[in-house]
Amino acid sequence: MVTFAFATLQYESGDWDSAPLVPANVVDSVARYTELDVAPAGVVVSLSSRDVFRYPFTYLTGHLPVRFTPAERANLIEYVDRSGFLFIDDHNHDIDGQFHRTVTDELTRACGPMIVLPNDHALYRAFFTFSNGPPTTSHELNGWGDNLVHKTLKAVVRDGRIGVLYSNKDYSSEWSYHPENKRFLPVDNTKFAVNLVVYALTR
Amino acid sequence: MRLNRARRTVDRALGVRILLIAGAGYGAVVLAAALLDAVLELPSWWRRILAAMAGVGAATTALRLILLAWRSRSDESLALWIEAHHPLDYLLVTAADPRCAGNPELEKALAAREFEPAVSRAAWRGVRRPAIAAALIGVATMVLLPAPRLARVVRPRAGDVLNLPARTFSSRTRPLVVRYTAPAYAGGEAVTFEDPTSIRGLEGGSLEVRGPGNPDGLVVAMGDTLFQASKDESRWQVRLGMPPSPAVLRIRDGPVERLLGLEPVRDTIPAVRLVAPDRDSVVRVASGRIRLAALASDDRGLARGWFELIVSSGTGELFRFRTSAIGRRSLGGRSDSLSAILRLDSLQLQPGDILHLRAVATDLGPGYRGLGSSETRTIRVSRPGEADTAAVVLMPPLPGDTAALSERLLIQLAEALEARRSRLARPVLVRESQDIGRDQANLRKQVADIVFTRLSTDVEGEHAHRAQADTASDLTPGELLRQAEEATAPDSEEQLDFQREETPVVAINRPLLEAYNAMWDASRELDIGEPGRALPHMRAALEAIQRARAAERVYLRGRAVPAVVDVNRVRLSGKREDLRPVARAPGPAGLWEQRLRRFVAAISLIPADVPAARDSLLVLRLELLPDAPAVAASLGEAIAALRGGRNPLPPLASARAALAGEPSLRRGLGGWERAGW
Repeated sequence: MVTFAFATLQYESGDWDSAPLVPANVVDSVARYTELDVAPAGVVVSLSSRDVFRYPFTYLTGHLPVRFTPAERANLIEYVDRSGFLFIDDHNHDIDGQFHRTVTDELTRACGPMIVLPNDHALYRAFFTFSNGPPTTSHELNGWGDNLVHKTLKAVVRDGRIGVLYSNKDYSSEWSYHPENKRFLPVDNTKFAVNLVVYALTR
Repeated sequence: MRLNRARRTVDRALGVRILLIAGAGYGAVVLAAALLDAVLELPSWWRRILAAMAGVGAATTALRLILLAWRSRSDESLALWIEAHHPLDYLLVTAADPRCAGNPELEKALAAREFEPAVSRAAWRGVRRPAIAAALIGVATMVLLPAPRLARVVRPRAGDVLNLPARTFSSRTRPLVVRYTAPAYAGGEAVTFEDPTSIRGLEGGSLEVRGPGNPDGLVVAMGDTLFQASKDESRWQVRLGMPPSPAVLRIRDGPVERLLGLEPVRDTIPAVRLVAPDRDSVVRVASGRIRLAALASDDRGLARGWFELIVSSGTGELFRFRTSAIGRRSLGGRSDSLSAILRLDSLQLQPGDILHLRAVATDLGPGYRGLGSSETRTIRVSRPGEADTAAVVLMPPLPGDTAALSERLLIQLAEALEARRSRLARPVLVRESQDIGRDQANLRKQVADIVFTRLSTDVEGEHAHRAQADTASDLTPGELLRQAEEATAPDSEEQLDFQREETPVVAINRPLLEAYNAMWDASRELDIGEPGRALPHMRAALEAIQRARAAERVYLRGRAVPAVVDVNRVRLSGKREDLRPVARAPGPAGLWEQRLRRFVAAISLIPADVPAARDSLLVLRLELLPDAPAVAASLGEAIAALRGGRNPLPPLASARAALAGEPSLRRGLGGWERAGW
């Protein structure tokens, strides 16, 4: 059986490593709720490297402006066309911020325009059920960033399958804690990550 | 001379004869084509061919006849022709012979014989049959064909089907004539489509849809938008713009409905390439000039271009951004260049700042399509001593408790309460103010845990501090702040660890200590029901927190230990009650399942109702255009095949396989196989 490894994409511009605890937290959740064979630690893979094709699920985040190099863009296009799943989360959750503007610009150039993912999409039923769409983060509720609760996610879709999932709800901050501290939370706020992984591996 | 006069008479008659023959031939072909068109409703290009054939045939015939006449134009030929119709005992033939020219006896004998009337009669007799034929064809044309029918063959043009009388048509929805005009910036060309299934054109163009009959009671709609049809002589017409995304125009005439697909072609954004600078740079001092150059190209035409600059300052979690633009100018044509000089001094870059630079261009198309942009170059200003530090990965700061209400949110709550103060009873105001005070106290305790580090195992912040029986418990916040400052002063001679018998207080972050003190003051005001007086203290606390975030931090050197999950230990330990079986039951059919069902329903109509099947496939095709263009293309082929009476099975099979999610055959694995699987 192939082992699932949580891969964080390293890109040249910006702070790609701004959420180092997210991989462990997601791995922990996948192991808690599913029987998927999962690697115990995340990996870092360069977006410009062909090694990115070893990972069907990849994660990209940051605060700073994102500008892909030609090699990164070429890999991104091929990765999406080859049914890879890339989850991009704005660590600022600021729709007017430079990360949001630049990464959406880069995605549009590389993969075409994104669509608003309807809140009854299969992604929200891939494992756990989220009847109201993407779960709200505490950072949105606390008014950080743009002081908005973003009700939908966006996606680049290929033949009905999500290739790139884009979020500015700051799941990177929401999931940035050691998995050992999960026991102190009344509700596990990483369940949506399980949906992402299961969707990526089963669609 | 008499022969020349005779020749002129014959030539006149021959000319008329040739014209009548050519005309009759042309008329016959036109009549036949028009009758064929009346039966088969020939497309305009067919009619153009037939009209051209008629014209070419008539011209060819006339030329051939003229050529034949020209060859037999000698005096001898004419004389023979005359003698054949009016015998003159070969006197004319002999007179026409140059060897006998000027013979007085011959001329005398010829002068006594009159032949001109006979020549005239004979010549014009030859016109009779062609005239009769032409007249018959003309009468037949006038009797059998109305003028619009004739015009369709004589002057065929796209859309002239509507020139026929309205009674010719059984429904006002067929045939349709659609005239699409491209946007002005794209040339404004107009194209007419006759009875199309769908129209493909550049977005932003205009459409004029016309059909037979009057517009009364006709319903024309696109989605929820209704269009008012107007009257145009014996036709109805509707004007609309090409939508930005694929759509279906529905035209309903009573029980009959006609669908017209609208497929907008997107105006692509310009392609921009940054020529200079050609690589990223790190500079020690942000001064000097940098030459900027870029090339832009577009499929329709460029509008404007500039260089965009983004300066990002900050580190860790706090960043600030400044944007600006230089070199802004109008561009022209389909390709153009940009250039500018960037003075780094003008940007006031500080050490650690990063300048992101790219070239941007717009075209003449719809602005909502976005900008064309180039690669980005970054110019970073190095920090002092950057080259001296060891290359280690800094350990990130420990995360705080994200479940606690932030100071910012507490301020918002207090402001909202203060705004409602005049409408609240005093006990209610106090109670709500105390609620906020409790949250403020919780936050203050968390700050205390960070501020007051202990050398003992007791990790309680405030309580351990208050439990001290020594002078530390009697210190006011201001005195505590002063003592902490003295304790952490770099030139302090006192040893922190062994200053007193009790566990000492060591403040490691002055701004946070200020925030802690301000939170104390705010809590006091909130506890007595004075949120307005608490707000300045709360804002001071927030400002201090922000300063603490921006303060320099010292991290442990070394690579951060990656968190490793004990997968076996946590395997399936998640709360089972969160997994609801009903959630796993098939919920509402996903989008693709719905599309597949609609596809199956559409093709099941083919045996009984091909037009309905085509319409259903057309609607599905337009929905699939944005996110599944390959499937949409297969459906387009199937629709065309159904319309043309060809076998639609191959494209339908291909579309079905794609909709059902069946794997499609690809050559090789591309990047996957090169990854070493």
